[in-house]
Amino acid sequence: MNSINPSVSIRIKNLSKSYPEGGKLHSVLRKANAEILSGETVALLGRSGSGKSTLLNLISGIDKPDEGEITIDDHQVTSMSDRERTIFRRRDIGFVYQFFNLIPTLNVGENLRLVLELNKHGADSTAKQCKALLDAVGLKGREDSYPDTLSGGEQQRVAIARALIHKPAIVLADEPTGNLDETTADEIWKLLDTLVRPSGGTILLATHSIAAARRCDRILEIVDGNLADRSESYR
Amino acid sequence: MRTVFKALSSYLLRHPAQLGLAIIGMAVGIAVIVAVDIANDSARRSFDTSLAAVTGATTHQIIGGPTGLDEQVYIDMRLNGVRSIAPIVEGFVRVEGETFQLLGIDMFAEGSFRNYQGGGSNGDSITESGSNILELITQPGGVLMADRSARRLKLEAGSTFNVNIAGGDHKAVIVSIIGDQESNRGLDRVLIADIAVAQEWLGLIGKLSRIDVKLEADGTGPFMVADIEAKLPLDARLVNATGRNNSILEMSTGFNTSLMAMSLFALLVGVFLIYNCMSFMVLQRRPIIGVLRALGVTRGQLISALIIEGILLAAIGSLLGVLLGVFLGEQLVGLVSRTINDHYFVVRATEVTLSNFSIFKGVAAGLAATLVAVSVPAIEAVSYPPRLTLARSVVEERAHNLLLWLAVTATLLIMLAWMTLVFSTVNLVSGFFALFLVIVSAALLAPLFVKIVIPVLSILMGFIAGLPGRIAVRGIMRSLSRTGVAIAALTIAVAEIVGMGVMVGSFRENVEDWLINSLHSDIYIAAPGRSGVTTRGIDHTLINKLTQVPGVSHYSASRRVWIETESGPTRLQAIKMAPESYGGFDFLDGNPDDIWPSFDSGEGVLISDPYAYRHNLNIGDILPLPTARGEQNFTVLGIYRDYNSDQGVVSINRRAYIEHWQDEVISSLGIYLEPGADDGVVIDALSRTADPHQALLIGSNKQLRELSLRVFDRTFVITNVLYWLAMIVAFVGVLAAALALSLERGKEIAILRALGMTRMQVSKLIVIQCGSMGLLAGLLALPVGMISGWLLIHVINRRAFGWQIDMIVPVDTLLSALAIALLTALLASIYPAWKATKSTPVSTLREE
Amino acid sequence: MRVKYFYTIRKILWHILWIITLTNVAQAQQNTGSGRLDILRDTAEKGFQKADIVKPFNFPIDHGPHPGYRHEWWYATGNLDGPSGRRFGYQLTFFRLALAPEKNTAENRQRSHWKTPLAFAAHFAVTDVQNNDFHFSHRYSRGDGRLAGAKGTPVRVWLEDWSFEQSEGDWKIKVHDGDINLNLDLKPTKPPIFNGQEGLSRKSSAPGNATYYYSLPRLESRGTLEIKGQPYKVEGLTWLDREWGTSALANDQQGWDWYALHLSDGSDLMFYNLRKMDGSKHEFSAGTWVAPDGKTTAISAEDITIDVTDYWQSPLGGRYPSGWQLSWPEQKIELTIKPVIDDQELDTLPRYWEGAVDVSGNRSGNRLTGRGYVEMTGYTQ
Repeated sequence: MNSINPSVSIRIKNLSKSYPEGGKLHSVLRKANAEILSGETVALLGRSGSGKSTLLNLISGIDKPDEGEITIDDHQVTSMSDRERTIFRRRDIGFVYQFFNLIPTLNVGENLRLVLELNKHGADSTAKQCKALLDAVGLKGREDSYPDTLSGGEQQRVAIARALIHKPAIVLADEPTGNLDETTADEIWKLLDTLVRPSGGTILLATHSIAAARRCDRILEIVDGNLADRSESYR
Repeated sequence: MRTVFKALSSYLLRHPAQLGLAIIGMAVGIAVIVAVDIANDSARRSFDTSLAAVTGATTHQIIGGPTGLDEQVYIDMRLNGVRSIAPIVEGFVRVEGETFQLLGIDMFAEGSFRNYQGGGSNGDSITESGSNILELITQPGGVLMADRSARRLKLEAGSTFNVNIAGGDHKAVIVSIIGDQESNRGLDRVLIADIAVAQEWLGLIGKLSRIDVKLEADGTGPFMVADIEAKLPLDARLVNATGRNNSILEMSTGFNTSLMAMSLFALLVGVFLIYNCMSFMVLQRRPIIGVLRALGVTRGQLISALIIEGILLAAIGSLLGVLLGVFLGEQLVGLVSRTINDHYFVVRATEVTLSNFSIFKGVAAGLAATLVAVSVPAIEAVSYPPRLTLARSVVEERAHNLLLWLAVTATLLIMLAWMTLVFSTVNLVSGFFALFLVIVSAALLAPLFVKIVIPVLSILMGFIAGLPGRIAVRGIMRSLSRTGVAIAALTIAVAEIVGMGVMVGSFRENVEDWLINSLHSDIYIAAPGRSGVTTRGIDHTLINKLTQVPGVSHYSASRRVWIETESGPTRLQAIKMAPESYGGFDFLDGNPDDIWPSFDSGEGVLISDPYAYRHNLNIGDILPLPTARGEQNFTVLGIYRDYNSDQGVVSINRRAYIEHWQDEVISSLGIYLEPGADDGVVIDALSRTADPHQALLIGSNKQLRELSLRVFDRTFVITNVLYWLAMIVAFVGVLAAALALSLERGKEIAILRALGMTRMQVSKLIVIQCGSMGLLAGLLALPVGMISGWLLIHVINRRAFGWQIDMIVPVDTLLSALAIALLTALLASIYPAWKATKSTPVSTLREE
Repeated sequence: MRVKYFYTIRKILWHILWIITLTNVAQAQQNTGSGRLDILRDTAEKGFQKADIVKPFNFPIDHGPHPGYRHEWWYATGNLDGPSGRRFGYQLTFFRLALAPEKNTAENRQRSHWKTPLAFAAHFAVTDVQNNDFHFSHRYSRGDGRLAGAKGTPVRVWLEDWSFEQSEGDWKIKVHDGDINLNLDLKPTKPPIFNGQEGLSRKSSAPGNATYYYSLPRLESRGTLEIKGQPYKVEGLTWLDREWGTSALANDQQGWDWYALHLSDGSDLMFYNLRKMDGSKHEFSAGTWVAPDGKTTAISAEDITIDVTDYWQSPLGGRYPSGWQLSWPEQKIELTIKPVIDDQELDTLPRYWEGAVDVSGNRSGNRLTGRGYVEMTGYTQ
């Protein structure tokens, strides 16, 4: 990652996004600005509908902003074509969702391999990587299980493994424990701490749990469509 | 209730493509059945009305021997006080490329047919053009023509035109136009002429085609059946007119039934499609249904709301279907009429008659299918506790449990089919019923088949397309309740193609072989006439000249006639055999060494296989035929293979024929050439010899064979049309299923997109998924198609037409059927694949 | 459907019959001014001979057909007595109509035997006085010489199994009509009489609008009449009219009344009263008086007056006279004529009344009785 400014991983500039809702445009982000440094773990706070998911979608290139730009490691995501964004996403981004979003027709191993396959990794390294990672998330020997035979916590472990398997530069997590009971959630947090943060990637974590946010290096909050650094106020 | 309805229907309105496909599918399914019904009905009805118009108030007819009836028979009857009879001389003629029936009547006798006494005052009875009516008798070539025909040919009263009969032209003049009342429609393509004119044109001087007789309903009256029969010559018979008309109409029954049955297959495919679309629309609304249930809407309310909605959709679909069906029917009438013309009887009118019953059948089928399609999933959807209704996996689990039951049902149906065939050996309808059962059970087995094949296919696709390939294939299994029905529909359609392909292919090959084996002569010469039946034949002096033409070695001669038997008209063929002719008979039963000496000495007759089948005759049986010397018994010497007529043919030695029927006419010649003679050169020489004397058809062996195959191919154009229509229905079915799947898989696609799949990759996945469905349907269709092909050949064809055909498995048909299945599915995937690329995965990712 | 087809044929037929019957039975039908009969006037006469000059008659040839003329008829009416006082009347008529001039084409192998421009019609009626019953029927056929025709030497006119034959001066009638059979031998007792001007009977002032008209006024008739399987030996007197010509229609005539009476003194009287449109007697009305010895006296329109004394309303519509008072002052003849039964109407096309009548009266004060036939046309609308 040779870049002019290696310390900045994600740069958000004058970002605006609105959705049509009930015939009117509902403005989610209004000229939001932020910079996230490489290797940093950042919590994204905000009320329901404040635009947390929207921001994650924009960063990952799933969605396009109305205005403004997002630059990730010198690549201006917002000016890329859909295809370029897709390729960028599959290579540089890992995603963890509240509802796990595993592919139901693929077993655990295949769910992991799919990401590598999309990135055209060789079959040999793939198998080893998957095994190792599943061991790491505590699902040793469950490669052949299908997602619907796993518990929520187990599914989320697979999802985390999937988010990491291709060693992305950025991991985006959208309420990763929002659908889990407290004990399981703790386990997942441990996993995030022990597995994701040491990977050296930038982590952006959308949540409305202040407790969870406090675990992060920095806290950003979306207030009225703007991003504000609230690291200090929530300490 | 209104709110419930709105809650349910707004979903549909937001998915117009789904809604549209359901309606289109329904419409096409209904259209096919309506169209075939219309085509069948129109052809038969136009035959019926023209027959009725021409038969008039006739209750009985006196039919003569093969050369017609001596007119003296009529005159003697009249002079002996037999009244209520009218002489008819008829034949088929060409007018400006159209076939007309020429009906020669004696107007004076016609009148006595009907008691017009006291008929109205003069004013309303005479048409304006009627004032020229006398000219029918006084004007040479005077004819009456129906207004409809005249307008089509741009003729009017006073116009002159050419009437072509057996190659010769005659000048006709319209003395009057028959008004275009509803009732006169049957007279379209009929020329009414004076009997004298008809006799002269048709070369039937001194002969009548028949005598129409009007007796009281109970056969009594001033003249009894017995009185008339006592006055008839030996080879003439008095037959019941209605019965005779029916037996003529009966000839094409097998054909019409087959068409109807085929249209039922299109409907069957349509039913699956309707079921697919409708049940999907219910399934997709499970969440809404669940919420509504949770809010306290009762099951009854929900079910009735869904059913009302279904009926509304069915009403729209039926309306469209009927409209489309009428349009299609109009196109099909021509094809159906042409086939009937080629093989059975002359259908003149091509007017499309739309009966309420046709419409009713189509609409009823559509409504019934819709009701079933809606109520099954509707009942199912509301039968769970509200919370469970939201769970998708439960449905699939149940679908999988269902597989077993479907398989059991299918097995029972197959057993029923087998029993049907064992217990009814000749009935055509039960033959179709068995075929229908087989097809239905194949459809029922489709999901099980999918379940078994999917793992294999998944591995295969994994190799070819990697994990996206597996996702695609496993997705089929995962949504079996959806895909199963679509695959079943496609299977039926493709199986129909395979079945028909196997049947037609085998049939054609059999016919081709038979043509090669039975047509031995190098050159064929025939007097023009429908089905080779001609009254005049080839002039005997000309035959002498023709056989003297250099290059001609020897010849066979034959005469084809219709004779009137108890069971209706029978085709009789009298042959003067050439040495080569013997080899042309492929006996299915009997030893040629025993048969030929008896045949040559005129001891009996040979009958074609369909004739034997229809009349249940075996070798050694006695066949009574009316001859000039009264009814005579003929022994059946042999049964031979013949694809000339599905009504069957009776062949007799020419000498025996002349002896029994006193008819020396020869209607066709088979010419054998000297070694080394060139058939082209000889044909030219023969034509030059014949032309100044008589218009004859002269062609080479090859030309005749080609012509025969052309007629054969023409016959199956309509079957092709029908199975392509079924394919269209199946296509809509797969398209609907593919769309439904991609809609349902919206979230999965969103995840894949989020994971970094490009739009192309997602599209490819959908294409693979559809393609796999096509492949599955194609694979299942092959065995099913082969079984239906076997049934079509050995059960349906035998029962409908009496044909005996050796089954030949055409590999190219199988391959192309597989390809068609695949292509159809791939074609159906284009739109959903394109649509998937347009959707953004944003919203769905956060939903459960 | 079938009905309608026959409706068409019926129309065709209707038209022909209309022409046949009109031309033959009534040159003075109503509606003659209407356009459709103009064809007869305009074109149909072309190529036919016309009855325009007095010609000598030649028997038995003239008993037979006259091919050059458009129409011709043989018209027999008679009163018959059966056993035990049974009384019958009969009518047998053959019409010959050439729809076009007959051509003398050479016999051709390719020519249909049906080809002929000739049409024949025949009417047959029997009056059964005791049962107050009137039976009639009519037939049509082409005159192809087989089904129907007329030949001379020997004379034979027939339509299917109805026929007139003449040989050795005697006539034979054979009719087979359902359950009625009539076989009669007719023996002329007087020579033929020639009506009009030596047999040329003018129907209007137009030249050629005339027929050749002779009668065999008194034929002794003997034979059997079988009704419903019951044969009756019958004998009586017959009047035979023969007429042929090509004439067209007159516009100013409504119909006619024709009387042919056999009187007890051995004389016979024939008179036809042509009615003008207003019902009055047309100046061309005429008749013939035949003395017992066969001598004839022409009767002109103004010689005779006939007053109607009674009427009969036809159930089919129209009112016919049904009783007459005939007076011929010059001969001092006063006759009362009464139908033997009222309903002797033939429901043919067109309808007409033709029936047996009784005659009573006197001549110069001497009682005179008789029987005869009356024909009335033009009373239906």
